[in-house]
Amino acid sequence: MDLSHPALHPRIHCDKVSADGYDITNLVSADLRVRARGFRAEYFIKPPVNVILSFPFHIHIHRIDIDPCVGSNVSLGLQILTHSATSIENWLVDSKPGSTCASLNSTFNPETFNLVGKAFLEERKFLCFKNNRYSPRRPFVGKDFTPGTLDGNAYISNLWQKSPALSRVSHLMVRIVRTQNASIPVLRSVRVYGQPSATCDKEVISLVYQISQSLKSPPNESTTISVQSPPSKEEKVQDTARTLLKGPSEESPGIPLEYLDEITHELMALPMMLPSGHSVDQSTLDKHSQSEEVWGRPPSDPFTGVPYTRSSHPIPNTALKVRIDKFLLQEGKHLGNVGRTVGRRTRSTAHTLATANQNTSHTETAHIQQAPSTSNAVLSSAQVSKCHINISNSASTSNHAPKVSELDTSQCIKDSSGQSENKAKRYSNVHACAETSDLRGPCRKRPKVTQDIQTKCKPYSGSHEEALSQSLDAALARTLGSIPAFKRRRKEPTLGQVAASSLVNEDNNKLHINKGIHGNMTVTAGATGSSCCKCSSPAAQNSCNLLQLPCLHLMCRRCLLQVQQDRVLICTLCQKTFQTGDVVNVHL
Amino acid sequence: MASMQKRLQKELLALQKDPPPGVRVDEASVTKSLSTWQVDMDGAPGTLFEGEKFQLLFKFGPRYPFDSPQVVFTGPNIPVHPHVYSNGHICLSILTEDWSPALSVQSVCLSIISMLSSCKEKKRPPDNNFYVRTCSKNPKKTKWWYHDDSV
Repeated sequence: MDLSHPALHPRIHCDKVSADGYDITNLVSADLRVRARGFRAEYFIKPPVNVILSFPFHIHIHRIDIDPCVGSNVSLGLQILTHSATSIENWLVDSKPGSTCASLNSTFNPETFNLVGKAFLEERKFLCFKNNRYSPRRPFVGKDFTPGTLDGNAYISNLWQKSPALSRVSHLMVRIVRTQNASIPVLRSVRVYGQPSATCDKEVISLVYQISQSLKSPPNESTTISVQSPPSKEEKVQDTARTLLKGPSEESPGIPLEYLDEITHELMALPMMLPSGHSVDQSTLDKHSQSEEVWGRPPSDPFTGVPYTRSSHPIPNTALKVRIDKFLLQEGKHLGNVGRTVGRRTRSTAHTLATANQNTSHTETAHIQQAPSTSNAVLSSAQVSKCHINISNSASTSNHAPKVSELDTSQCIKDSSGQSENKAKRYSNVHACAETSDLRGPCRKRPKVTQDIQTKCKPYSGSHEEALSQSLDAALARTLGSIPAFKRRRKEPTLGQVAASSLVNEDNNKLHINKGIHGNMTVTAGATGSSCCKCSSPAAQNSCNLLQLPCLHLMCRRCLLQVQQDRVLICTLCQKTFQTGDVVNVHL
Repeated sequence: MASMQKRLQKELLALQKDPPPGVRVDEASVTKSLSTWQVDMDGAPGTLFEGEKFQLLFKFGPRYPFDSPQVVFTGPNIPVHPHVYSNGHICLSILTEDWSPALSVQSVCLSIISMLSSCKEKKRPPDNNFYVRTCSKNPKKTKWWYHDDSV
């Protein structure tokens, strides 16, 4: 059985200071998440580091499983020492178990420990010390008491056969004597399997048996342990060359080839589509143009060597990015340390973004249906137009598109998620919008944005409670009005002419920016709308793909073909001429 | 560093699985360190170097694949070729300024084979004696003047 299980309250102690959050008590913590974090010494600590596990009773060791890798740190040299105290306080029987961190008595010193095993790893590996002479005694026999089978990759070392040193152990010391590349001494997990020693009292044995039975009852207990104990299978970066020769199945299991950068063979965080059709990561391109600069050459396509031009340059491969992100969200936990732009914190955003994207059409219809049911539509429209003017003001003053776009993104997400909820929920959601938007929005949000939101929300915040007490609908409409619900506004016939014109422009802008940001595109919006500048049908309606002219205005394919036939390649908005080769596809 | 390891790993596997004709990676050399490879090479049949065996030494810097590897001929037999100096240094533009991260060990080997194959007359480069006496150990430190654009 697992004698280091938190239910048996083993005490653990380390003679060196540990890093914040990586305390030695993590190894025996009952909290699985804390336990998974493991132990890491403070960065200035050098080996040897002694970690001492003390047990409430004498134990007979069967096997010791050690995972010596935390993050990129690996403890390579490990020694196992045991100590057999004649009398030990049994905190399982005598008193309530206190803290797991034992303050070892002062008489204790490392000299009393017997060395029973040591191992020197050459690479990241799971480590297992085995006692070949172990034989289970009643009642600790049977499948429940045998430790799980080991991963084939584990390094197995035998414990030396010194009878009392293994069969009657009160303290177990794991000494870290060497680390990889002089990194920090670490331990991910230490599990000690065995049984109470033959010298233990009957009551102790029966108590331990009871505890082990109670542990067994939740069926997933053993599985969680076995999940915990196997080594990190995701290890892909093998440092020594020997392991490489084993075969391709070793590394990056299951990552589809198309998600890997063709040059570095790493998972792409920001896939860019090159003019030559290959997709590589942005960081690769940066490095490449850096080394090209050494030779005094402009940035070029690494595959063809053709320098980038205005019309032919890397563009973000958003479709691939979406697929990689989806893959990471699903498989990320098995992959370990891969570069990613979706993380724990942004994950919720990514989800929201995804749903927002899927629901765009749905939301639109919801908007239209909603409009008549809102009793104070006129009021809300007035509020909204005010709000929109606010936005356009801030847009014009800041003249920095991304800033506004971030703000808008967060609000649009909010908006669409709010719409898809039921009414009451939506209300609360929307109310929380101002406070939470800086959390929910893209992670590189700047304080300036929150400021903008606050200033915008000011006019409503004062009378909001009043409005709420009078009528839920009115309050709702008002609060909703503070959000740029631009799609509905376009349908409103009651809107003032001035507001409408500025609105539509602004809306288009936002739609454009919003989508752009969603796809991680870095399109600078400028004064572009998302509608064709000739037939002014928005992209969402005619489902025709838009193309961007060099003057940053958009034109739908149909109009462009027409224009091309007439041989007047002039932008209808700014009257600038352009070449057919300069037109780029825009993916909204 | 890690990215370089991964890339080299992939290239090694690819080269072992599907090597170009006449090219073999010396696995013993790779076992010691991934950043130094020894590649055995046969002279292509039907050329002046038919039946000869050469050894190439690849050294990869930490910036590989963005930085070109050091490639020299080693071993007892160094091809007598107008672009190969008697100390093993190779005058080949893709090994210095025309390097691209899209190139690989395999493509370098192929380039060298094709360079050898296109040889019409076995002779050393004209400035061989001077160069061998004065050059740096690292061929990448040399400022190459490419006399011949035919290869």
